[in-house]
Amino acid sequence: MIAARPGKWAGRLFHILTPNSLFKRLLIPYLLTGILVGASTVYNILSINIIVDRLNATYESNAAIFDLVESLGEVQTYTESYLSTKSSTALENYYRASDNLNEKAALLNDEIIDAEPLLLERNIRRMIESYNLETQSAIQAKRGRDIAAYTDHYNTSMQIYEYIILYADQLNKNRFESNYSQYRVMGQLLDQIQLLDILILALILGINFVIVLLTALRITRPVAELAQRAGLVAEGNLDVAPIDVDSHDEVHTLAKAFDTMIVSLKAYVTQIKDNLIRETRQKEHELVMENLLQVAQLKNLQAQINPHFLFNALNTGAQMAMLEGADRTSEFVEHVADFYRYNIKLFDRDVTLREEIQMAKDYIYIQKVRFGDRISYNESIDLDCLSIRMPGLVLQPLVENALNHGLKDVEQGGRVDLVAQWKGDRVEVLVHDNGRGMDPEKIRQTLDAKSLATASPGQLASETAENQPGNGAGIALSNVVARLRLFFHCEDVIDIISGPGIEGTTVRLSLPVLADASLPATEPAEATGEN
Amino acid sequence: MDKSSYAIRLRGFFIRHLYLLAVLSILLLSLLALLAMNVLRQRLLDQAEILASRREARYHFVLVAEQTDSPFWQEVYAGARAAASEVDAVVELAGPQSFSTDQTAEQILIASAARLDGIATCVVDTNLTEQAIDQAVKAGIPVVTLEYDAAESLRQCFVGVNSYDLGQTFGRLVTDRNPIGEIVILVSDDPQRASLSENQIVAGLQDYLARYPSLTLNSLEINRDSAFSAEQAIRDLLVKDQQTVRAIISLNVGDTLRVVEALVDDGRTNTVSVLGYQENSDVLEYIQSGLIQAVIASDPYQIGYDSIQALAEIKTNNRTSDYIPSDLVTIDAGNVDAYLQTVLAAAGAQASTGIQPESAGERPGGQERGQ
Repeated sequence: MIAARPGKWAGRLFHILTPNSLFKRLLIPYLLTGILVGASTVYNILSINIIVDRLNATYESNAAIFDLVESLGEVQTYTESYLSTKSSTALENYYRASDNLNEKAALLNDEIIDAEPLLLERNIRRMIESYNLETQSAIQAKRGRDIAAYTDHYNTSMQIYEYIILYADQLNKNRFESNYSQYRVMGQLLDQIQLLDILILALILGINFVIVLLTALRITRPVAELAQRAGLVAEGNLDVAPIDVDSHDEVHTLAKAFDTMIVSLKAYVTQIKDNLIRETRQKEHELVMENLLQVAQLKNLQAQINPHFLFNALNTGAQMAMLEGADRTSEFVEHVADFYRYNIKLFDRDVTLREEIQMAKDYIYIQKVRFGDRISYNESIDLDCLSIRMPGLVLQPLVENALNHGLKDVEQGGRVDLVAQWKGDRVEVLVHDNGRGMDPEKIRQTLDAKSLATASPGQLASETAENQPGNGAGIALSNVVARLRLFFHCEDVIDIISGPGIEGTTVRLSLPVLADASLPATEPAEATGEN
Repeated sequence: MDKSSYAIRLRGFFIRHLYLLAVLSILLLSLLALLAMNVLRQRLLDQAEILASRREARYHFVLVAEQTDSPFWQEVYAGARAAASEVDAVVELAGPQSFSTDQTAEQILIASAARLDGIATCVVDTNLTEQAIDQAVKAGIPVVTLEYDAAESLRQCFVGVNSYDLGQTFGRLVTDRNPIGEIVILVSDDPQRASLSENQIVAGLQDYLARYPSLTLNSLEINRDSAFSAEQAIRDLLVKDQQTVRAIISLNVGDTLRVVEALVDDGRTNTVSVLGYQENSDVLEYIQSGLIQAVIASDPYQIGYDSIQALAEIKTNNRTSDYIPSDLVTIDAGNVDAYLQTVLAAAGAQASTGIQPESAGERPGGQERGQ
């Protein structure tokens, strides 16, 4: 307990001296400076006082001897005066002067100490005692009217008086000499003290200057930095570096709070921005997808006015043809029925590649019956890849485009090739015709994602209608491109290869395999449930 | 870790510990101020304060010298101080700085008036000094005479040479070199004011020379009233002399030197031997150069030492021996160098031990002779 106490006090003192507030930071330098200057002044006054005291003592020691001699002179005078007049006043004066002299003599040294001035004092003191005895004896003798005795005593006293004066002079001289040497030492000391004072003062001023400068810098620098950063933030620039304030006062708290505020502000703004972008994108995406599908369905519905009716009618036609033994007709009508059944499906969900290929094949079968041997169809399907998912109504429009556009003017030997195969981690689907090909400008327009993204669904619809006036049932290539890109979120999902020096047109689909999580697993069941 | 990073860390440290530094500097300054004050106080401690720390002694003696600043009396004083420190006493040196007949008596009277514990004094003017000595002794203050005696006074003790022995020694020195011729001894014209017991010296010399009929002894009386009369008398002697003087004996250093100077001026240093009593550096130099045959010296240190011992003995035992003889040393060309060595060594030892030579043993035989 006792041992812990000083440590505790030191800790408390240290805590008091630790500048953890602006108040202390301003107060402590002022106090320190005050203490320094005060200490210097006190030191100055003390040293000067010592010197002055010493000087006083020096002169007093000489003055004391003069006093003593004066008193001695008085005693001598009154002794003489009594001896000559025998008056009671003279006797009274004699006793008074004698007391006075004894008082002063009592201040002199009476010890036997081996030092000249002290021995001189002792001699004087003891001579004064002898002198007093002699004068008293003389006065006694005078009272007893013993003339011979008082003359004798008076003469002796006179002699001693002279000796005392002699010794007093010697002591005076002795003291003066030692005082003078002391005075010289003191003069040197005064010079040294002055020099020391100047040095200490200079030191104090230096330390003071450093303390005040550092304190001012320490207080103003972080505040200035803070102000500058606050200005930047006010202009809207949140990218400000954090302030490094290593003090522990209010400025530090302020800087910390400022930094925290900037960080929170930044995080908040970023979050809002992100949310906005995400929402916008999602909305845009949904909207475009919906519109495109609507356009496609609209076009289909326009082409097949009453598909259910037509589908049922076609089925009935196929059964009749079979009953009548017209197998080929039956098969044809079945294909047409299949084609329409597929078309009347709801395409708000994705489908498998298998279904798409099936529909394309139905369509080609129908067209082949129409066109006869004018066109031939070849396929090369990798069975592994048939289950991947993709948007509906993609392959049929491509095949339709190849037949109606690429092979439009081909009289004989027209060919459509369908290839589906793995290519790396994607499935490549090629729709190739050996027709007249597409001009680059047309390809560019078709693949231009921007024009598609900005175009409204209505525009898209009218555009496709305009581009293919002779084919109301065709679904615009651009529509396919847009839907594929939206579905797969990538640009290179579709490419059109055609131009001078290349036979016909090849539309290449490069379909990524979507992660299972993103796939609507219920789709096949729903699709079958629809039938 | 490059230089700038260190500089930054240093700066950081400095700023962080700014107040610590400030507090430290205040402490430093206070320390400096305290130190300065202490130095100041130390330097201002005046002599009295230092002296006050000294122990008080039992006795207060005074040594009254013929001439306080002469080497001889300084040596006596050194001996006296050595003895004083042994007997728990303090001894003052009193007397004129230069030669004066009156002051010896006066100093004795002053010492009586100051009722000191003892007086060791030389005797210059026998009449005056004797009166003063008697007065002091009557007042109960013991008095010891030294070097020169006042045999008629009430002094309790004399410390010094045996004058008869001194005369005999002079006789031996004279006959060593001059078997025939005239020998002159310089004495004072007023026996009352003579410093030494000159009659005793002359008696001793005469008794010794009685065995040498070819030698004649004459005394030259010198008036001591004037400092110049001695020189005049010596020059007169040499002028009147018929080349028969073979040796001149002087009883004080001043006369010894005057004789040598007169002889040098006359070109007679080869024919006249000079014998003296007591020495100083000039005298020793003349012995070295052969101008002086020999001098007889007493041991001033021992005289001073013995006188204070005698005073202390009177204070404690109330009595002491009437006469304490001081040894005589003959210094001639044969031993002057060795003598100088011992004097210098003693002076050096005194200088190094301060003004208070504690050990009398530094001087050969000093302590035994002191008993």
